[in-house]
Amino acid sequence: MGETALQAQPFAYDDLPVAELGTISIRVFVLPAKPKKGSEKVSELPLDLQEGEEFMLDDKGATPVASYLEASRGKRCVVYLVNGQRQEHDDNSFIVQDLGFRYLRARMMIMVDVDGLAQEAIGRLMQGSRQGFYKGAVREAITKRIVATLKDDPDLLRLEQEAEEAVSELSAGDEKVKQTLDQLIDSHHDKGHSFAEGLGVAGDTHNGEELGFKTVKKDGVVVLLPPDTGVAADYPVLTSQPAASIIRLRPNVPREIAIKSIPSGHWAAVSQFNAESDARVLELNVKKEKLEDQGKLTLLFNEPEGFDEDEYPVRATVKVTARFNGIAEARQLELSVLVKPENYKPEPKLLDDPLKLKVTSREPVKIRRGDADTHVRLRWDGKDCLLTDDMPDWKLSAKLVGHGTQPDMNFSDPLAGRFSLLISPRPEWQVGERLKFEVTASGPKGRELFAAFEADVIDPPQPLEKPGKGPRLVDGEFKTGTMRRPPYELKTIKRDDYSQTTCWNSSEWTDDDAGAFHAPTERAPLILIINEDMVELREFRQALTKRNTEQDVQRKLNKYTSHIGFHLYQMYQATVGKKDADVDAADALRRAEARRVGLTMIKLMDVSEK
Amino acid sequence: MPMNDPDLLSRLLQARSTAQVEAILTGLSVVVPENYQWLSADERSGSWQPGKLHWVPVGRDRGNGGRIKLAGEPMNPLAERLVNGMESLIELARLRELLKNSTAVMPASPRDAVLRYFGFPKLDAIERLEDEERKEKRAMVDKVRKNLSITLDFEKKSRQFAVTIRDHGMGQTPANMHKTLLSLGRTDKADKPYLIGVFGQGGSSAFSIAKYSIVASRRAADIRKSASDGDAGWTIVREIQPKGRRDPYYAYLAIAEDGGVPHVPAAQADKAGFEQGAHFCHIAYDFGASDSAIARSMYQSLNHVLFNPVMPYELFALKDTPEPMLGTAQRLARRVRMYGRGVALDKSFAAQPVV
Repeated sequence: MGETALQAQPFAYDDLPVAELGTISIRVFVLPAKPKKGSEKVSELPLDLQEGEEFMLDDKGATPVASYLEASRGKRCVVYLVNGQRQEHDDNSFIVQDLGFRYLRARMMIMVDVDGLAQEAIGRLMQGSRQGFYKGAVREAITKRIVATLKDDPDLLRLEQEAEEAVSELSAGDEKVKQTLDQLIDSHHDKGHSFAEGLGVAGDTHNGEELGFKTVKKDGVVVLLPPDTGVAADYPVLTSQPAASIIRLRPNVPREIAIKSIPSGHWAAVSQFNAESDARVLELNVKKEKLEDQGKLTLLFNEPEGFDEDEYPVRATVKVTARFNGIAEARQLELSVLVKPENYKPEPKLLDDPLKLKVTSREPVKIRRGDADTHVRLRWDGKDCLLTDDMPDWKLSAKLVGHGTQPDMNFSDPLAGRFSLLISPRPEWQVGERLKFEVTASGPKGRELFAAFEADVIDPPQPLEKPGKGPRLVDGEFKTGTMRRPPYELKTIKRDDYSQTTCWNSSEWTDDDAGAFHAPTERAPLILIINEDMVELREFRQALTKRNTEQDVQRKLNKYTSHIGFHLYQMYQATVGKKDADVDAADALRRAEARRVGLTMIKLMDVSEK
Repeated sequence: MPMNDPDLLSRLLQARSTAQVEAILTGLSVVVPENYQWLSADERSGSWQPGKLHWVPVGRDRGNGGRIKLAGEPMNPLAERLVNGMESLIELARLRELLKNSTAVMPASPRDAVLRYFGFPKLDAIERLEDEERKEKRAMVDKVRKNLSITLDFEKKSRQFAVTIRDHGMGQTPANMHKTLLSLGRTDKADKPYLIGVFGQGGSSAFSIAKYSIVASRRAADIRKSASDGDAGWTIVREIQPKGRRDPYYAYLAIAEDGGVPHVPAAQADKAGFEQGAHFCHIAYDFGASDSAIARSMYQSLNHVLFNPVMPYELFALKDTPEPMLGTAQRLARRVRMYGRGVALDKSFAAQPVV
């Protein structure tokens, strides 16, 4: 008997069942972006600050996390700890490429504590050389768990989106520059091959979504869409002012939006003007008013009593439709509205004996099929330590009510009473299925608190429709085909906005930067940003004004801007389908390339000027 | 300087440059490698001369070069040394516990041991406590961190850095130093779940980055078993490059053929202010750069390598006042707390299953 046991032991070690790998703990930090220049507030030092600790409050470094990193920027911002000691790391390419948080990469650090793994699993990871974990099955399983936990985390998604939205608030590029840029791009494609080769499918197959454009149904309206969508139509079209792709709204604060026609003179011919609120967001009130030269929308989000802060941000779509005399098809404009409070409310008072547990995600919760966990927000009025102490008084559990296999469900640690239930979707769950869950907090003396919620199973998010550039008549169902030119937005940035968005691998722009592109995401198209305050361009502009008419100066600057935009466009094309091994290094090269092109362009224009 | 010089230990503890070490060596009765060397596990060139110091391979392993030259970066061996210091402090607390109660159950993990013996939780968790409790735990941390320090010195004349790691933990008796601090891969940690290291050789890689390393240790008073346990053992470690061979090895000064190290009497240790614990000073430490920026990068690097250390420690980086070292996790948690929720994010997910 003893001999049998001895023989069996090595096999038990070698074939450690994956189910027994154990657990990891993940902690993610995101620091705020650097404050806008000139707006820094003198921060008061905390009262409990001790001598010598001012050292850690400094804010030096190229990025918000720079003073917390060991190596050059972006390196080792994901760390894996054994007994608190870093034994393995990932760079920010993990944050960009595996988690999809491009805008947070300079502000985010992730700590993964693997002490909860089985001793045998740690043994497999650790190398005697201490030069990182062994890149085997255990390491792969850890990566999968991190991605599943963080990829759809609502807090991270919110921060990423906020960072991305900052770009949409930059000034739009000049219309003439855009026309020139369009010509350059079209001419480029006429002479070249389709850059999206292999991605899109022409004809009537049903695979058009691969390109990032979902099938859309419209009913004979003219909207601004990419040129290969629908059929060509004529102006006028509708536009909004501000022209931001997302309209931000504060709760209980009305905001006016102007609706105009392009060309503006056509507004006088408007015979009907309608605005349709979002049926999913009943709290959003939309008032319309037709004025002589434009329409006026007043948007107001009435925050209901008891509305939980965690339900923000709220997203809605407002459809504006207008009919013009003598034109058959209606003109339409969709406005994306994002509602969130400016300041968070004070932290709630938490109790030693909690009384409430509630779900704060908007119901029905959407459970997306796929590898990423769905996060359901919850809140209770108990102190965090009741759940996080070494021997906690309270425990959380969750179950799927009714039949079917229970999914894997875990909780995040509470923070000021807020926490999330993470649900790993079961592969057998079908789109459209409605599920009911129950969450229980069990405390001392048999005390229990309950919360229940319903959830709908949906497909992973499809990319949103991209904004277009010209009037297109869309009628009935259509699919996008192979694209020649993807939609893009041209933006300009000035010194005042340098800290508002990232510039390649840096958390902010400098006077040395000529331009940058932000690759398209599910929410926004390709964005080309030109720096109007690059120091050499500023000097060149000053020199031009001394010997040229205003029109000539503008023409030359338009030429400069459109050519830099075109080069950025080509640089983006070169990245399509490629994965950077080192995102920072690749971006540093692109940054230098954009500057080189900018300087060359200025030099050429300067020479021709003389 | 002869071995019975009453200031020998003081001079060893104060040495920070190769010139100082070589001056000490000149006065000692050392058999040079040309006259005594390990050729293999069993073969020696020359014979042992009783009463004299000999260079003996660390771990008594002639092939130790490959096992010691494992440091890819300068900070990692220092972090390993600091971890050894933390273990020494935990083990001292455990031994004291056993003196009071020989059947006390051992702690389940290093964190468990720290909570039991020193009274504070994970360092990054302290920032999430409520004000009063946080201040109380932080005061405990600040008291404990004084027992372990790392000091960076720079000698301008020779442009040499020296790094000293000093713990006030259990220490080793002179008779045991060669079996513990100067061993390789000999560990009794694996069956002690409250200790941290596994391989028993991480800190040794610091020997390969320094020109000389001075090692001294003294057993804590309340866990000594005999009067001689109060003596302080010492040695010097250096690389030996045999002529005509391409396999250098690392050797320390031994007074006995079994590898035992020289020692000074307890009175001399008292006079030198060396009460208990271990002193590792790595002289002419190669940081790859030779400017004072090392001091700044050391703060960030050590905090990053020991990201959420089991125990706190202090860093004296070219100055007399220490930086409290609690790891980057604590720094980030603290920063987020100061910014406030809504501005920065600090979110954690405990015990997520890996499948």
